Amino acid sequence: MKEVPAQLPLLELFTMLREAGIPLAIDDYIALLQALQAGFGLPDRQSLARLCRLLWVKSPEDEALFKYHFAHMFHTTHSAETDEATMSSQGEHQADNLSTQPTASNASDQPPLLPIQLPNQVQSTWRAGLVPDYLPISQRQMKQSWRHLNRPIRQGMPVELDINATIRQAAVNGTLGEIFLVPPRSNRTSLLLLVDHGGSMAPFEPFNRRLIETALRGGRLGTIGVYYFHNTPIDYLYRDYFRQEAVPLPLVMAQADGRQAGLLIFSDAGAARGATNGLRIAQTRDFLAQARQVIKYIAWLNPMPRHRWAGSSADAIATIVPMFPGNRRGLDRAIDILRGRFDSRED
Amino acid sequence: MDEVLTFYPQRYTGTRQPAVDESDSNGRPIRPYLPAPDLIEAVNLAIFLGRPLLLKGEPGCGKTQLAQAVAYELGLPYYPWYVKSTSRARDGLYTYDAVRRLRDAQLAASGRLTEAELDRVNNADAYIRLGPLGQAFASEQQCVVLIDEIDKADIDFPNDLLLELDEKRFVIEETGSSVVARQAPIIFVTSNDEKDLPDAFLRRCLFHYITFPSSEQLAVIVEYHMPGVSPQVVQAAVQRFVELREQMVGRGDARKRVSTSELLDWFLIIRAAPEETALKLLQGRLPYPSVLLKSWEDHRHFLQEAGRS
Repeated sequence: MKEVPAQLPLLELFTMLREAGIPLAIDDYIALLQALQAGFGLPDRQSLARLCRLLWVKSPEDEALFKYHFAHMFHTTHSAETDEATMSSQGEHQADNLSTQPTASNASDQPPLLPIQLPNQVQSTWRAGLVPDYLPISQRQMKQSWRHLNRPIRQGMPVELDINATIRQAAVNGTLGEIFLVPPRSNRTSLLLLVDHGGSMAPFEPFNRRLIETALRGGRLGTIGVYYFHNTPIDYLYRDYFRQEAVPLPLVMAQADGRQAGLLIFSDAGAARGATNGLRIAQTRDFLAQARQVIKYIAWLNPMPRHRWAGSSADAIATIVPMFPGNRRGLDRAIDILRGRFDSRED
Repeated sequence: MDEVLTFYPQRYTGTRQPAVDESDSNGRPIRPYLPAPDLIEAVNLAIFLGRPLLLKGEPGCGKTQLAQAVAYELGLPYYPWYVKSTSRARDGLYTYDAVRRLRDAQLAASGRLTEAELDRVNNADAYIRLGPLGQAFASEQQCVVLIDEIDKADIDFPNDLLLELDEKRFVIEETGSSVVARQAPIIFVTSNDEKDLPDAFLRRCLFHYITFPSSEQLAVIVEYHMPGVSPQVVQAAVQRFVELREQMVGRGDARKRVSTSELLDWFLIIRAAPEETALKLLQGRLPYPSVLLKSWEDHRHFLQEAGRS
């Protein structure tokens, strides 16, 4: 067996970035080697960083990770690096400040420490992706799951030739009389996403933010309405986070676009605190009855794992609506329901 | 690493600019394009590795013009493909005019075609028309292809092109013939970042974000586009512009800010005035605000500023 050459350039950086979550494959590393051999990225560290960026960085999250790991590898300090202005955000600056913290105490000629408020710092390191992802579904996985919610329907101007119908007609008539056109297929999904917010759902903030963001940016969905509620959706739903802009429930239901609409509810349904609340169950039941008149595909996503539902309102609600735990499989199955695929398996 | 191979087919330097009244094959004037050094490097890397270059940036930063500039400098044929929301991946490769063929078949059946036209009906190839990417593949020499605003189309669109981008060939299903690219085309893809692109597509591309040029670069760009203007006017205009932009940056992240193309439009009007008038105009209130300010918010700020002074 051939021996691996001892010093493959930047293999360590490549491995670190892979472990941090950037989806890189061996092709990407080989491309880097080819580029280095051709003379790219050689003059100085910055051009090397630029080369790696071109090949490996495809989004702002990746950029933050890359900047951190690249600096970490060369132990550069914040002041020494000049600004590479690609997609730089607040988070990166603070991430760099963070990286100077451990080394500042060792060296004596470090630049003076800037006063940094701790909450900002913590939040920005989380945002920069430096803390390992503790949510059960990663952003990429969520995006992939949303992409399955695809219902291509023919709509719009009839411009596509329906060959079968035309030929059939020609066969019947003996001559080519009429030409049949149909509208092209495009994705027409209408999704209502109702998110429980505040109170017992407070710890799941990052989860629901990620869910909403990936749904909106996924690009596959036709129309999405995102609304917030607190504990139970009754009477009013809210268009904003802080529950200031109310929209009456019947109006929201009316906005659901046709028979293809789906409704996904994201709430713990009482499982977080663990108590059974009769009123909550009754109100939820009423809401679901009302929703079912307009929307056919309804699913419920619960951030708590299934074994925590027992003994709480969630248990009761799970019997009247398909409810799934907030992991990858649960999300996929909820989306299956929204697609109209009947889910008959027991978990 | 002292043996550096510098062998690759073409090298873009960004220095060859068209003359003032030069125009392209359609008769439209070709404008100069001044890329930043890291953009030049990105282009050369994309050419060397044979991968598409994905460009993002603010509207008006010059994403779309880069492809034509590269084609101009390297002297290669240029095939732009402006993607619409209804575009299909296959349309960029080829389109098959089935309706016309059916009609011709009917005319042939009723005996109203000449010999030559009858031959044509039998031959399916006559009804195939290659799209921009298809033409690039079929060409003898290397071409430059632009896929503009790829995020406008359906999300399946980039994925549908993956095989063609990887293997540089495609099959025309109606005739069964395959078109193989003799020379891999140089492909530029632009995106407005309205939707996320699928990961499989992103993996195959090189990605570069075009940043807004510095004041010095802006001055150079303006001088190139409008030669023969006094440097003081250029400096004053660029300074005013940069101040305006910084105000916009300071006000908020998400909204549109003035871009390079708007600067050029604005300067076109300013330079029409004689030099002293232009300088005086630039000292006072922002002249010709309707060219630069495109939203009510910006106008409101502008009026407030004007009211104060």
